[in-house]
Amino acid sequence: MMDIKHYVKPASLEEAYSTLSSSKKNTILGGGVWMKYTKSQVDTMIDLSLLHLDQIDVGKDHIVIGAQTQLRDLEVHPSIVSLGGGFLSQAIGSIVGVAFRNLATIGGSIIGKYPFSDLVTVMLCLEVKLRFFPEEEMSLHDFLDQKEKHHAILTHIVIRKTNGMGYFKKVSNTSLDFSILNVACFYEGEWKIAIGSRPGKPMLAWDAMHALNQAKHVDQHVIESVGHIIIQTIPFADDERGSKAYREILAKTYVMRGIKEVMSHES
Amino acid sequence: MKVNFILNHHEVSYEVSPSEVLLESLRKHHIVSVKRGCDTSTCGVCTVLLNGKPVLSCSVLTASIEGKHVITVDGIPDEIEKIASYFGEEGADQCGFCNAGLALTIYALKNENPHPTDDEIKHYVVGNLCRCSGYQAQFLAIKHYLGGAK
Repeated sequence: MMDIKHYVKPASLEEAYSTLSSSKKNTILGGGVWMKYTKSQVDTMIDLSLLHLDQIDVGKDHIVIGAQTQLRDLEVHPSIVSLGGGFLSQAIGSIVGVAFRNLATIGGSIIGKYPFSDLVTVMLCLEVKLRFFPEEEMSLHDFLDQKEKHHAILTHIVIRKTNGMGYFKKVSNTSLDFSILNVACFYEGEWKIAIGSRPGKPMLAWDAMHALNQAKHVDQHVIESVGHIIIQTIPFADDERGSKAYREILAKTYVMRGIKEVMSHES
Repeated sequence: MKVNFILNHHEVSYEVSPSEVLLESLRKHHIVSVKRGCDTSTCGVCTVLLNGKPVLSCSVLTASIEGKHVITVDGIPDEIEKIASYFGEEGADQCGFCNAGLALTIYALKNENPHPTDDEIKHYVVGNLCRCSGYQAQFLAIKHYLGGAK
């Protein structure tokens, strides 16, 4: 269990950032669901619950989600349920149980850069920007690629609204376990494919996407060639949940199935 | 640090360390209907209602619940008796260790979605593990409870 010396609820983002910056041992409280998995020493835990960062605002073109929004609130929100045919809502709903998702936050899920994240795999297929305090904005993709720790406070996640159609598949040993592999496919004029829990972090399958987007007509032959490209270009590895070979078979199978399912909705 | 909150409709004030989780705080104060299961945010045995929503008390810092409402099975005895009677009729429990957390989850489901489909019931309670009775009897008991609650 995390060892926490002090606990504060700042009244402003300025105050929160000042506290966060004052010591490397200070940290922001997310949902708290992984606290039991670490023995890290925290000098001051910063609780942002007074700052109204748990709201979902739906605009004309974007959905703006406060970083402290709980996953369950996101899962059942009408704008998320309808987004991409529901693939984001489905991915969130596959994360442990309701009581877990009533605690875990979207901000915590992103900041942790968890390689097994089902949420991030789907979000990579969407146009997602992260807003930080002090003022800064970057794409989710760029954030995941950053090697160094990000010291600003994640305040909002901005998703561009879309009429596109998505597919999500999680493979795990039990409903409550981490993914052995997760796959998301999405089409909105062009294809996106993301694969996570490889067991490395979620990533876009650029070569497979390129092959799909260059094809004049996506038929069985093209879909099979995309399956092969996935195996050849995406790094998979062994861990305690599954072997590299098993993950390759899963990835190929579910990417091919995902493309077909998305196409069935498009036609 | 001192934390004030409303436990089962009564104001309480607990002295806690910043690292203390709600499960520990409640059990220290003899609220032993809240059980410790996996203790790693998974099994659902430690579920309580926080402002009406089911949460894993093993993963909530007590410091974070200032002013909030916490409900355990001790706070809704009439409803729990109804749930228990449906579980009894279906033979849906053996050791009973997971029942308190599951009962609170079912009660929250009824409040959130009084007429769920079978799939919605399963989706809502999947985070409450039982290691002895089998889920079909529990599922039937939940369906009868929700039907009776209409």
